[in-house]
Amino acid sequence: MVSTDAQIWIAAFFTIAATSYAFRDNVVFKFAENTFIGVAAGHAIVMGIKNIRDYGWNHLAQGEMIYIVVFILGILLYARFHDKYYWLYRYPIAFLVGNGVGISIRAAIHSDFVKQIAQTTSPLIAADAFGTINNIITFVGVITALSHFIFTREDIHTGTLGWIPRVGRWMMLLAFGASFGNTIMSRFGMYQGRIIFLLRDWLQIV
Amino acid sequence: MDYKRDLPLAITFIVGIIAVLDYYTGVQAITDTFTIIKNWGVVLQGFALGLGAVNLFRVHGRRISQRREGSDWLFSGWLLLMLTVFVVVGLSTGQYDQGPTYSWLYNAIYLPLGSTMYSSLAFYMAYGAYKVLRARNFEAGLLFITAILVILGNTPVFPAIYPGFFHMREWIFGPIVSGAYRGVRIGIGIGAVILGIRTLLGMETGYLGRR
Repeated sequence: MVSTDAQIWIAAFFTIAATSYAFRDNVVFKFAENTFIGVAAGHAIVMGIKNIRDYGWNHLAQGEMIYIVVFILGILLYARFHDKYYWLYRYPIAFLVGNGVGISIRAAIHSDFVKQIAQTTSPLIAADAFGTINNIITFVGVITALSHFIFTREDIHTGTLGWIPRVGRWMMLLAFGASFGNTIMSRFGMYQGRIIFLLRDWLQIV
Repeated sequence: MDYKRDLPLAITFIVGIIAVLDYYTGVQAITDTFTIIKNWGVVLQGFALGLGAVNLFRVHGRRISQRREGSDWLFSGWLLLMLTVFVVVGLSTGQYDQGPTYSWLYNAIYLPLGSTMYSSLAFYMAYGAYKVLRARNFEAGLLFITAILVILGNTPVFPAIYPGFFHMREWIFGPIVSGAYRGVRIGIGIGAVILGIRTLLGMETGYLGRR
């Protein structure tokens, strides 16, 4: 018995329409594609306005008058479209860049630098031989992969020690292959979810 | 001071430094200031999304007004209509994404399209794997061998036939992936910090635009 719910029918149509590109580009896919862009943009704007209310307007309504500044900065973003006063958009952009850079510096130092080094500087000898071998492989992987990113000295890639970054490249390729395989499987898992939706919720045959 | 160029660079420096100082000093006044900066950042991102919408209307509005043959201007009209519908439905009720009509539309259109588009990339990835296989060199082989072993280890069938596939997958994600990615992450961290410092010091000015 096929579903009689209009929402399920629309969702099923868009699921099939989005998949149809796997065969060839077609008008149904274009329809789905443009619908998705419009809907995604609309959703992003709704969430953006909600954030403006929650993080800006509500503070202003509670008497925090300093929040007027951010609304002025927000409006200045639209100066980008003005021929003469376009440079005013640089102020809010500069604020956003400063905020983003500041947060990324602290995050990078903590999680990408200190934490990774701390995890690497653990004893190589484990309780069993297999654990020791794994620790050595991990350590070699870190050192060699890191050496691959040394660009200030050219001879490290071409000289006597050129095998170190080369091993690093091989380690990274093995890791990228694993990530690639994992991503393919997770995407197919998601696709399986859409197929189950079509068979169970729409066609109701499973 | 050039208020068109130097003042924005000063804003970037001050805001960035406050974010860094908040992490390292823990002084209450700096933490309070950074809380305001974080809130302002979220608000400005909301305004920036509006900027994106204006651009969409400009580009697709031009297509609609010109109605060139083969430009799919009807689709452009549909795109703008869907955008407007979502915004009007979201804002008119005052409930934003929590309203029943909005949730209905979201579940009927956005959710299936988003997950199908995202998962459909698996087909292109499979095609990419085929291209890797055709490369037939040692490095492509390294990439391919772990990809195949991880795929086999992730399926229910192959580990059921031979449990070693599952153990191999686990081992690959142990020393090999964590070792290589740790090196990559340290490299990324160094790069991010250097780029961040250069930006704060006004040595990277691309974000100011070229005009």
